[in-house]
Amino acid sequence: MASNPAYRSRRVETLTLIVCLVVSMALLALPEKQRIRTADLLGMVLTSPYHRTVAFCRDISRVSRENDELRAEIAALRLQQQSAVRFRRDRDELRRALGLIDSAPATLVPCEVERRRVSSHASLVRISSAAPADWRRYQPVITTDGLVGRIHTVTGPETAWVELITSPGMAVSCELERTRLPGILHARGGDFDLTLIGRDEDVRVGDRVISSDIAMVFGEGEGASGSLPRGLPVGVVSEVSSPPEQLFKSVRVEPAASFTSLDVVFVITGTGEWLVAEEPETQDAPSAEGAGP
Amino acid sequence: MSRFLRTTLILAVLALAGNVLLAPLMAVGEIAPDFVLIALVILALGEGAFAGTLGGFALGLVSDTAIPNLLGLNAFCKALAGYLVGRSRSRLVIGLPLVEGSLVAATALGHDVLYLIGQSWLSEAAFFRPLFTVVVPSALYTGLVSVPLIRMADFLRLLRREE
Repeated sequence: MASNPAYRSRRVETLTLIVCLVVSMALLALPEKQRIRTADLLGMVLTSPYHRTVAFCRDISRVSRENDELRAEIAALRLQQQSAVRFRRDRDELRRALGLIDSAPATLVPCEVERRRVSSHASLVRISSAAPADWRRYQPVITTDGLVGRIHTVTGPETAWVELITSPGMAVSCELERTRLPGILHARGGDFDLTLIGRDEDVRVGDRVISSDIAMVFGEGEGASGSLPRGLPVGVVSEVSSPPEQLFKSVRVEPAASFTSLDVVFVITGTGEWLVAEEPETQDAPSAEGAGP
Repeated sequence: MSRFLRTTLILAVLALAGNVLLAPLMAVGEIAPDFVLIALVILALGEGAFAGTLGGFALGLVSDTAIPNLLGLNAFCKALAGYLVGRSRSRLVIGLPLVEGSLVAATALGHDVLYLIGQSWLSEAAFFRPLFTVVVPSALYTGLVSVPLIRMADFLRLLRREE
């Protein structure tokens, strides 16, 4: 056997392969929780510094352009907010009169996706927030376009793993915005199927699909757990058919959010109603955690 | 030893920079060249099955950190791919672009099919649709992109023609 690695004997090569394959299979055989912890640890050691550097360099190059765009968007949003505040105040007064006002409003926590380019095989992504957040399992995660997933594993006060709705084992309770028909959304390839829609129901291509506030349903024997705020955009109906041998329509849905280039996501924390308006006396005060769109 | 370090360093840069900077620019939908696999093939062709296996395992482990629910699957597939390419290098005629491109395309196809089988088995993900819409076109794309990179590696004397 020569000292150069290129000329190792066949036995050494085969032994190396066997060791590598056994270690790989041992990693695959780990319980899910330990597997995620191990990946987290390996990621921190092997790739985290590199990904942070790349993300920092990209941020510097785009920050100026994005700043201009955001200034314009803030100006437009301020105008919209002024009228929204008036509507909210009226609505809250009516809700309060009916005893419906919620005391714990839901809020958005902005988070950065640590690996911006998500593999098509990925069903989990790691996110980090700028400040410690009140993470809970099953909290919904959205982008400005729509729903992308839910908190799967909390790994620290500022980091967590998010399970994407493209994950094969995940199902999301949804409804059609136009008709309020409920259905269950499953990932299939790059798109989604909306199931349990009766063959005689009114569904059209272009109908918007939003989240429903019925509990989310998950695979892997976990049962129903967690629920979504109603009204989060999920996708748009792209194809409808009624196969003669089936009781239900076949409805394909194109997702609202892009899963291949996740950048910034928002975790919905708090247990109250989605985006309940602040109390009238605090309406004009700036909020660190931000309000909804 | 210095040659081995130089090869590893160049290929690590190719794999990381290629996958992070070039692959998103060259992607057509979900179909993108796999620079990590190209680097692995060059490493295995240049340094043999031992380095190919270890390099594949290490590169796979790095890729696996982004997909923790399948931790180990990439390492498994890439270690096997590195070993097989390393063992077959003495039977290959290096210098013919068609042979080199076909080798990389076949390795990418084998690797991705094995990965897809593992993924379908472990997480009940779809098999046939991604096989025909992503895996096969990506393997061909990777094979095509690999030709100039392998020629460049040969020019930099990263490939050996002994054995």
